[in-house]
Amino acid sequence: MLRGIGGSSGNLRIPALPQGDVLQEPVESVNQADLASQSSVSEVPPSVNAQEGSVETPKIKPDTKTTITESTTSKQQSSTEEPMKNGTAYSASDLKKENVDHNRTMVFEVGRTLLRLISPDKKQILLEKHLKDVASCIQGVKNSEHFGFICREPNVDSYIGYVFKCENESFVDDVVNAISQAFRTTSELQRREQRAVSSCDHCPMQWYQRLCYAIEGLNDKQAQFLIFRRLEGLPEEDQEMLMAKFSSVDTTSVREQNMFLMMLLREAQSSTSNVESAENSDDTREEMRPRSSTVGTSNGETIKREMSLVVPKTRPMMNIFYKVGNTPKTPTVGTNQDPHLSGSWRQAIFNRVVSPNTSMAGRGCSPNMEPTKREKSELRALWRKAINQQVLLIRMEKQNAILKARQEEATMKRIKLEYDEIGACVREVMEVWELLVSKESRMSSKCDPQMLLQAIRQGVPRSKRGEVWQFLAEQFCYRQPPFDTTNFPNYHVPYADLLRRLTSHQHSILIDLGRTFPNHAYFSSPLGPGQLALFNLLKAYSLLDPEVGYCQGLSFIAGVLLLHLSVTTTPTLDSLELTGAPFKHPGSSTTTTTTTSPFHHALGYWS
Amino acid sequence: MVEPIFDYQFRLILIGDSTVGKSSLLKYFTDGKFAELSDPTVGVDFFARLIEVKDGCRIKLQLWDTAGQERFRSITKSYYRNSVGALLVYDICNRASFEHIPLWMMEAKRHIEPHRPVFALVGCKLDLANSSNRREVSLEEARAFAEQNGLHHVETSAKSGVNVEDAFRLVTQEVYGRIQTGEYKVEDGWDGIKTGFQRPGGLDFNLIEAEPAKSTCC
Repeated sequence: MLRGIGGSSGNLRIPALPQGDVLQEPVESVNQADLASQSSVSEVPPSVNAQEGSVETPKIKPDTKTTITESTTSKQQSSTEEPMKNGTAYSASDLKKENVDHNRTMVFEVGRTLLRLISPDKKQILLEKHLKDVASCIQGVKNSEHFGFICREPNVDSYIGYVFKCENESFVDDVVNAISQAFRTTSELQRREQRAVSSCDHCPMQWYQRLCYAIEGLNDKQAQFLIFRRLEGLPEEDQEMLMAKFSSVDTTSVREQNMFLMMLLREAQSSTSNVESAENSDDTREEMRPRSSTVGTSNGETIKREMSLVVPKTRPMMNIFYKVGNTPKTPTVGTNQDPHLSGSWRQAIFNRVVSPNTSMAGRGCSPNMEPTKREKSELRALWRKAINQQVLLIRMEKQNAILKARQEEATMKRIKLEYDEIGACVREVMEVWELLVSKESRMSSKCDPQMLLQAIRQGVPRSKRGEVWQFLAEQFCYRQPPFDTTNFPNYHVPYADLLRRLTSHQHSILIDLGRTFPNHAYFSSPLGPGQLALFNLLKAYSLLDPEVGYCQGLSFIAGVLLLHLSVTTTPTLDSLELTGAPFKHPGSSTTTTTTTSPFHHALGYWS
Repeated sequence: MVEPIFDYQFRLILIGDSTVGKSSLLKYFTDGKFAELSDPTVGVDFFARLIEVKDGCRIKLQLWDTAGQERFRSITKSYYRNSVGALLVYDICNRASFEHIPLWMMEAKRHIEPHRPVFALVGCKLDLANSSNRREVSLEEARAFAEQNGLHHVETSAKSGVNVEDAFRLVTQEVYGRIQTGEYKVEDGWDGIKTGFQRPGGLDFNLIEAEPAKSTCC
């Protein structure tokens, strides 16, 4: 039910939530300063069955890359679905988890300005909140494995409480600590900024004024020195512009030069001053609201945000209606233009088909508007038509989605293979490999080692690498005695199940995600698809091979594998087996090198 | 006489938790560059740089960068023995990394025995601590710890380059000082300190000859 609304919400990602995982409870008028409300929130029973795993970021780092590096995940294995007790205006049944099976291991990222809930499985951001909108965050008192935060919705004029259940208390501690640390940092910055505003330090005219005072009474040489010193404090573009203008003047008199400089400065500063004073008023207005700092935004963004707060005030009610998945008590305005239309979605479909362009008023709740009564059979036919069309529409949408997914996959594949090679290999080699890797040769278990060696020496074309490596891994396995799985209790656990578990190495893995091929397009975006895929693979491996777990350097091997092979197309153990099997050499003992050596061989051959 | 490229070679090791900035510190010191993103060190890495101490003596620093991850402890251990100095690196914005310093120090002491290594406590990411107020380890606290244990302390930024040079210079100077007082000697089978003179079998002779010559010129 929540799915269809994806597009309707502005910056809220919730509708994209799989099966309405995060329950939201509108909390009325929660104010940050209102301590009473904070405590009351903590007592809200964990009825809200949001769940996910938690995760924490012990360190709060700048948004760019760091956020990833320092978060950890956890997941919650079983979540209870208690009905809402604090029932506000909706029932929890709508938000029931549809799919108990899906992976609930989530990454909860606490950044410097953002809170994000990411599903490494779906590689989606499920929830994204600005810290400045968060009013309070608290751990459950009676149910300490829960935590929640209350967040102002920029589009809806209200607050929503999000409650999460974590696997255990320690995760909650971490999360709450991380968030409160983020609060402190944010408020510190905010205070600094406020101070700056009150003294109007950054007002350019003020700056100019002070410079005037400062150079008063100095001799020309000193004055010029001082002006240049102060100039260095200006933004670079301004400096450049001023210096360009200044260099065009040809006078040798220092006094004249100074006068000209001051004139330029006055021009430049007064022009920016108007803009800034306008922004200042925006700032102060915003400061009236709880927790809406101007932290971390440039002046331009301040205005934009202000706009987004003021202008679309009408729409937001819709979002909450959709999110809650219940009919609103009050008629909403905005996207839903017909206030009389309070019927079901069925009626909406019906109306759309029957009278696509005419006014929809009158259906349902106001029957007296109906001009003519239709025959029963006629209605039936219309209904059939409506249903058929709807079915067709859905089918087409599905097809489109498939098509789009295919295209995306193709581009992704292309992106993955975009890397520099030391030496390209000849075209003919392609055919050799095609022959080798082809089904027939695979069937006849063993391949001639000499021929293989010969082929390897000529190199493997990059588009074939994934396939060839898989082939080589198979060949390797044929030559080895059957693999002893005694030390690998999870050897037969499917990949998808491994992903649902937690690894003790998550922290180290997450730290290294941002440091693995950071310049490659596939891995460059923080907690993007590439990094999450890497995270999944490394996590699975650490569970599969408890002796090695995660070891720095493994991420590069896994990264290379991911560039050439896909995990998703072979959701079984296959893909993992490829990475896993070679690692799981019987001789693999303590050190990294031996653990991965067989695979190194494979890599070594072609390079 | 052929002028040697360097008079002494000291071997220093950098230790500390993962991601505190050991590699970045070294990169700045040897390269003068800062990389926004750096690869995790796998096992150990190696750098070298020539610097001059106060009296003009040229010292080649052989710098061993180690992996901070626990898993590599067994590998990095073997690099302690041949080091004369250790830089204990922590992240000013990461409290835990500072709290682990005593452990690192103990480990280094234990493995460098019987030699008494020169330690320096080096805080990294000063730029981050200052620019966004993320400091988690106060200067006073680190100072106090350093004094208590007789270490040098310095806060650095590999991004801006603040104090990076100082950190290494402090250790080098101290090692050099200890050579002059006779505490450290060039020993066979120990690579902590080596001389740059390539005269076979004449190590002691060189030492004696080189030093008076130095002291007269100052």
